Amino acid sequence: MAQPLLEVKDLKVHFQTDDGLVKAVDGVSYSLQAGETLGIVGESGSGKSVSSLTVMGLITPKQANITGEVFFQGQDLLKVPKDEMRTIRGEKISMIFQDPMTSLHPFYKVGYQISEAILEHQDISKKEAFDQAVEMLARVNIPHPRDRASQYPHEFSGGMRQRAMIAMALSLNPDVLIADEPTTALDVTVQAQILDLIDRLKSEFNAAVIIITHDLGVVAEHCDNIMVMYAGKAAEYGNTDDIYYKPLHPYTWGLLSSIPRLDEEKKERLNPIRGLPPSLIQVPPGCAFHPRCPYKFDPCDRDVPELLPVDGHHAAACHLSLADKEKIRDEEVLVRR
Amino acid sequence: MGRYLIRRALFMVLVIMIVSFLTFMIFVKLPAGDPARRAVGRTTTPEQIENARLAFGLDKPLYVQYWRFLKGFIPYPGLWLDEDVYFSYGSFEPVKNELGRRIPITGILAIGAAVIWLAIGIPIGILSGVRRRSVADRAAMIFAIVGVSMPIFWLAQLLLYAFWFKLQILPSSGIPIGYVGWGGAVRAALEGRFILPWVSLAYINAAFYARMVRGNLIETMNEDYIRTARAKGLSERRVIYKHGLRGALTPVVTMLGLDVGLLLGGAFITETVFGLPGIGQLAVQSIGTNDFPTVMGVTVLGAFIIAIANLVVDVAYAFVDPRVRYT
Amino acid sequence: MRRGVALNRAIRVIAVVAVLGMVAGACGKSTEPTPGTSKPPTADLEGGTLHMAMLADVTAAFDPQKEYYSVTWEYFRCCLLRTLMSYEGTPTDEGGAEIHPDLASDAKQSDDGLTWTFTIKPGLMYAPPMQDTEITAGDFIRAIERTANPKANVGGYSFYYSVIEGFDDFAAGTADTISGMAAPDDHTLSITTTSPVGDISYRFAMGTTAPIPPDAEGERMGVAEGHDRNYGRFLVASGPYMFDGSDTMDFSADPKDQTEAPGYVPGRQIVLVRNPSWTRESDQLRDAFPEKIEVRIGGDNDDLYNQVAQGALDFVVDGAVPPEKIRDYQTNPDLQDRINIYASDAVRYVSFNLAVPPFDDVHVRKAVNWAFDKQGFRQLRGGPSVGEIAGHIMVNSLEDNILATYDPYPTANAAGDVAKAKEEMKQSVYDTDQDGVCDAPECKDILTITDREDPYSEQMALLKQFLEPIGLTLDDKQLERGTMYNKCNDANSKHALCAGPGWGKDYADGVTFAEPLFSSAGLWESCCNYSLVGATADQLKGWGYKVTSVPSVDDDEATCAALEPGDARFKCWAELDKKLMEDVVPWVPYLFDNSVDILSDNIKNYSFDQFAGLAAFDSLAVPGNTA
Repeated sequence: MAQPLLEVKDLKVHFQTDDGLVKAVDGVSYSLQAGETLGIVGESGSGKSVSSLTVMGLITPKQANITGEVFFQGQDLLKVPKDEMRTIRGEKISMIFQDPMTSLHPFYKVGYQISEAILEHQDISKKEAFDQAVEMLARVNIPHPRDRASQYPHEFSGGMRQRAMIAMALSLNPDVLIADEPTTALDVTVQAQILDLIDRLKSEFNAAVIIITHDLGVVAEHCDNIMVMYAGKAAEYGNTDDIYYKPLHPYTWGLLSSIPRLDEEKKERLNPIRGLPPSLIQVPPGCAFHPRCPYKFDPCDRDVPELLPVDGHHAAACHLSLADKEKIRDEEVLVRR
Repeated sequence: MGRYLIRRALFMVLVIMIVSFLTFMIFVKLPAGDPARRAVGRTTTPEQIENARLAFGLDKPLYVQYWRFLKGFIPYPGLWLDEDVYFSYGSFEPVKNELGRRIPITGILAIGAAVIWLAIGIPIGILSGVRRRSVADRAAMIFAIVGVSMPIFWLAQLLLYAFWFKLQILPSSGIPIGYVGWGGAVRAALEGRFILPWVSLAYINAAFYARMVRGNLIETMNEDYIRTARAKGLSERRVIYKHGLRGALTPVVTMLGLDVGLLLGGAFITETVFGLPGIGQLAVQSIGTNDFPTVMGVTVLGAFIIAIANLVVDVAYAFVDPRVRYT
Repeated sequence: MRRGVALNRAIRVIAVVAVLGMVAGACGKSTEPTPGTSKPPTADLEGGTLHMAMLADVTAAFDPQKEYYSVTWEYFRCCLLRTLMSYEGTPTDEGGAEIHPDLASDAKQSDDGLTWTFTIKPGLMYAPPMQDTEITAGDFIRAIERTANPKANVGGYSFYYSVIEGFDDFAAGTADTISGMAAPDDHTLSITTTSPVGDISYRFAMGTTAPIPPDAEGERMGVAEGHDRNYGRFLVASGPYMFDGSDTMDFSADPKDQTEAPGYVPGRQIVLVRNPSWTRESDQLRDAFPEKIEVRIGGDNDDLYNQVAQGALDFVVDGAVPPEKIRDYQTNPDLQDRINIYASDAVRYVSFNLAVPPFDDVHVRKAVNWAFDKQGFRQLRGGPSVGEIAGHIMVNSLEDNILATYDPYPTANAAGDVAKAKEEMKQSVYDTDQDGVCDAPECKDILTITDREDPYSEQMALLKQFLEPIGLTLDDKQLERGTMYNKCNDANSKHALCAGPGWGKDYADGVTFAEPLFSSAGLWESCCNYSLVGATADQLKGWGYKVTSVPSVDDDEATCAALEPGDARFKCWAELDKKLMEDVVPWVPYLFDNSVDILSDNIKNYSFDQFAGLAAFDSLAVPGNTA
């Protein structure tokens, strides 16, 4: 296997607040290869966004206690000086965010915002940067890109704004693109377009992509690998087939079962996971999922389960034995599916 | 934009009419003294009061009187604050002349103070907002709290006592004889006669603006687009000054227009303590002496200035915030 | 005139002042040499620019027919306008209350006392731009006609001239001319009155009678034509001074196009320069020392007095000297000759409404006079320097000091005497058990009106305090000054006590007190007989009172008014004053005001003008002020 582009090892991000210590990310590890799309899935408060913001250096040691390592191109980003991190940010690793309306500055033209990013990292003239911005807009399929570059964000539609964000993120040909809930704020029809666009650009730019989402449907089609997070930790990790067809964690089972199906009778009730996500200040002892787990047994409220590989890269963090898991999975979960 | 301006102008006219009508009713319906009696003064015979009524047109029915005043609102030469109706009971000259003499003083006072308070308040607000909870921020906020809590007449008296009477480094109150018009006002300003009045006004407003800028900046820095700007790898300096400040300062435009508009209507306390013969001083004097035509004249002028300031501010806002478009 | 408006600007109490030990004596400093009595040679005093300040502007922009304000009257007398008769601008004991010919060279009264003939001094010219026009008899008629014109005399005192035959008809528009005034030739003026008027010469020493020049077109009102509302801005001077830039006025233009004299800018400044047409030889009454007088209008009272102390300013016309400065100047030997205290001829008082019980009973009124703590009232105004305790109603200069020591209700230290008050109260019908305490229901919640500013509100507390032991309780209303005066004057208001007013003379004759304050001519809707002395039964009924009769002094007043000025007239007023104090008791007078001035050290001469009750501006010599 080639050297991973990005390797996160045992990342922990704890926030000191007046109410207590918030363990937003509590020991997460993953790696990313060039050309790969990793999907990070979880509910709100699972720590998925925080881990990526920390990778970008947007959460700093001043704001939180950060431990662990984040290797990128041979450097531990957590130990890199601020100015150097700034050159990496935007140029080598870039990020797009959930709501493009509020993520773009309302007072500046779109073309200006894109060329601003370019000018920060490249020593070219303003005109050249603007031309590049226009070209990026064309590459994200925005019609009449030169006219559009002179417009303001509020003059774009929702989907177009997100495209513009993507254009801005990719304008410097980064190695890694992190997309934090890129489609959550968009219509369903537009969602598909955006995700397809990301795919296409990934191969055009030969980048790696991390898609953070709570929507399993999104990751199914567009990700190579998936990490399911719960309460700041990884619950399960594997490639798409593994996760969808051979899930090995009760939480994943719950997520998959709760997806509404078109082919079920309407009067079938939905199957949510009972209970609520835990507070990150008072994480339940042992397995964080145990209060909500229908298969909980003796060790679950005492020992923290480790993320152990089961089969190749497929790993799960659960005390149930492999045999038990497979049994439950085949008899109950998949039948329901 | 053109249609918008016309609509706003009409609305402005309506507002001015309402203001004038209320002022008129207050003075006519709730007289602390019958205006005729006021004009006549001390010893009065019934004939004298009657004469005053005739001389000032007070014998005519209310609506006729109001109509006469209303005609004075039309900003057309010959009609604007016409000399027959807007004739002061106090100084026995057209109100327009009095206002014309006083506008330069109030103008210099307002504009000078505004320049100073912006120059002081905004940088302090930015410093505070950027370095939240630092020593500089705390010191700045103490400065600000003192400023907004301090009564201006107290500060004014204190400054006058300290800098003129005791230290003798600044001139005393008042504008000397012969300093007329804009030329005279500028000359007085160059001699330093406006320094203490400017400082009094500016301190209090600077404090207010510093707090406002600080608050806005803190809020703005929490916006999503700031996160995006950082994600682009921009320097923190650029993030604060190009992205953060743009959003934080737009409310300042609104406030500034209104504040200057209000000041031009008359900073009465400052003018009185420092003996500056401006519009504010005139307003209060004429109310105290029940000099009704002057009160109406000052009200009309003040209402116009503030309405125009409002309009200017709204139009300026459209230039500052591209999301705002007027039709 | 009613004093509140003039002196509210003059006297504002800032704090209660500790009693001073060394205060100059009673009416003026007659025991010490005053600047002005031992004058250096006058030539040394001439020249220089006098720098004065006024807190407030004059009240009618110097229009002579409208101005009813002692400050403006001083500007007219000292500086801008000469009249048939005038004063010397000195205190009473130096002859300041005496009247002398000014533009007239002599005055003769007919045998029946109804016609006066004045001879006008020849060859006197007006100030620029009318320097080629001589002052003639017809110009005085013009002034009186303007005084009768209802559009022009708003706020003035035209009622003093109703006594001229034909004046009222002309004013009403039923006559073309004033029949009682005639100018048989340019230098003779005859005035016929409808009844004998002893003080006619005083009335022709007032600004409203100053001559108004004709204009080239021969208009009826001369240069005042077309300026009914504001002739003051176009004033043509006849005195030693004129408004700066008067020569630029052009009366040949249409009145609407004429430009005002630039020296007076309302609300800002008054600049007076020498009138080149005036000569010292023609004028025995005026000093006219300064070359130029510059007056700044506006400012802060204390700040202005600081400027005087520093010499940046010479004089404050209408301010109130802060108590600590009064103290400084009186106790510091270097400053003592720069403070001047004179009686300003105004009295402060509390008036009773004789038609409202319990004050329809003279014993109650006398009891209040006994109980009154006049010392305390004075203390709250600022202490002994602000005035003398008043023992009677009319100011001493109007009675030639005859009653200077008279007080029918004397108490120790003028602090009031409860025991004597109770003795008096026992004789009242409202003291039903005759124990000296008023106990009828009318004694409670007596409607009292006063001024809401200091020191009147503090005085109200004191008033309640010393009336309580004799059984009187008050329901007080504290009003804005103008409103207070209106309510006190309004017979319909049925107030029982009016506790805030003051009254000053209009000119040095008792008629200016007696007529408006106590004769039936001063009753509502006229002015200022708050006590309703002289009201008829019908009038009382018409205003809604149950009381059907009140005392009257109309006959006494008419008798005195007819006498010629002189000892007999002074005595007559004094007798009336005594009758008021002892029999009618319409008031409790408590203070005769002082005028307190401090001067900068640039001023080398000072004189107090008893007529206006202010310093004589033209006597303030500043020969060294070349700036």
